[in-house]
Amino acid sequence: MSRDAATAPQVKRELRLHLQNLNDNDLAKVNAFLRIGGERLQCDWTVVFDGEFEVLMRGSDERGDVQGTAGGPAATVCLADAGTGQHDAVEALARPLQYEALLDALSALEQRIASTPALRAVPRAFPPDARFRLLRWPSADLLQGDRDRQRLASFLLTRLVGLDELARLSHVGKPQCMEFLVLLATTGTLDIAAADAVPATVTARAEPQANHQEMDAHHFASIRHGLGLTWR
Amino acid sequence: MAMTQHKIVFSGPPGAGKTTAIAMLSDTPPVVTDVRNTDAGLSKELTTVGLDFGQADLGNGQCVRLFGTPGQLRFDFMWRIIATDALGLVILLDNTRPDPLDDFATYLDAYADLLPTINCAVGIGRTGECALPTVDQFSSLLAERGLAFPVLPVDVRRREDVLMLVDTVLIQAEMRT
Repeated sequence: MSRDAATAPQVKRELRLHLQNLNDNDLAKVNAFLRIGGERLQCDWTVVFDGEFEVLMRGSDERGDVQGTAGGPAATVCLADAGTGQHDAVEALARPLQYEALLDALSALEQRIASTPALRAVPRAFPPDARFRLLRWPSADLLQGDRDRQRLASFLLTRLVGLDELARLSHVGKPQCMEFLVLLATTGTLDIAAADAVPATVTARAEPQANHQEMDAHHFASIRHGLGLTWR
Repeated sequence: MAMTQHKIVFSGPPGAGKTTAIAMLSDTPPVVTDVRNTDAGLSKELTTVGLDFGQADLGNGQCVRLFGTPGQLRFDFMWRIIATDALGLVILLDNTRPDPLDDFATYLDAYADLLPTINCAVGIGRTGECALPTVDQFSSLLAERGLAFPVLPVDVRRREDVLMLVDTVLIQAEMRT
């Protein structure tokens, strides 16, 4: 490390914490804990109530229509009464909010945000004939319990898929497919390859088991029909 | 005409809902091998010691055979035997158990050599009763192992939830052909 680098002042990165549906008690605690414990954190956390943000903290299960950086929050922290079912957040904190719990959660989020490209800019456009593949299963926040999104993600798990093929196989409209792909791209969970790229397998996903290689689309349609899979 | 059979296996710890999930899809009440539970750590009267079996007739000479593995760890030698050559594997977990992530790790270890080739989905039950660990924490555990499978909160008493898990398994199988 150069002397200049070693002596250069450390500039903390700013992260914005959007508070949503928190009661006055929770609000006061978050502000106080951040004021007291700010030095313990690697980033400068700023509480915001509108505009862009990196982390959403919500105090109820109601979903707001707030938009974070690059079209969606990087992470969500749920503040829930003990024993209630806040199951879809990346982090969940129990009421009454505790100082250590909040600082630990924010510290963990700092690490995650720093180690993943979660704050990528939204791509203006994907390369023509680009193909896509998921690197990992998307967060519950992004899927929002939506059947179409869950199915689209499943189609993207096994191999590279183009937009046309994704729409055709899933029976989900191209605009919805594209919207989902853009969201995935912003969270860094999407591998995007040019059309002429060698097809890659998902990490640790190898060839299919031999006895299922001969199944065709008709077989799968038949199984779905027989089981009553009717939503698509 | 010979019947084309597809096998889908439900696996997971005791009480995760394997028998219930199979009952949701089977045309007939599942064949179960339940005995009176003698494990003080399990708050259930009966527990599966062999395997559960159900079947869904698809018509056109096809059927889906649904197998449930015994949940208790001492029967782990059966898990892989049952899952071999399956069209899909559904791992069900119970979020109210003491350490669901450790349960998950146990099953990932047990199926480690099958997971790279099998179509798999993970259903997390009772998230409404116990919020932690979050669904994303289960996904992260998969990612740490270089794996990516659907991980969905489920209520196995809801047929559509079980169907959604099976659909994500079918989608993976479809994409591999």
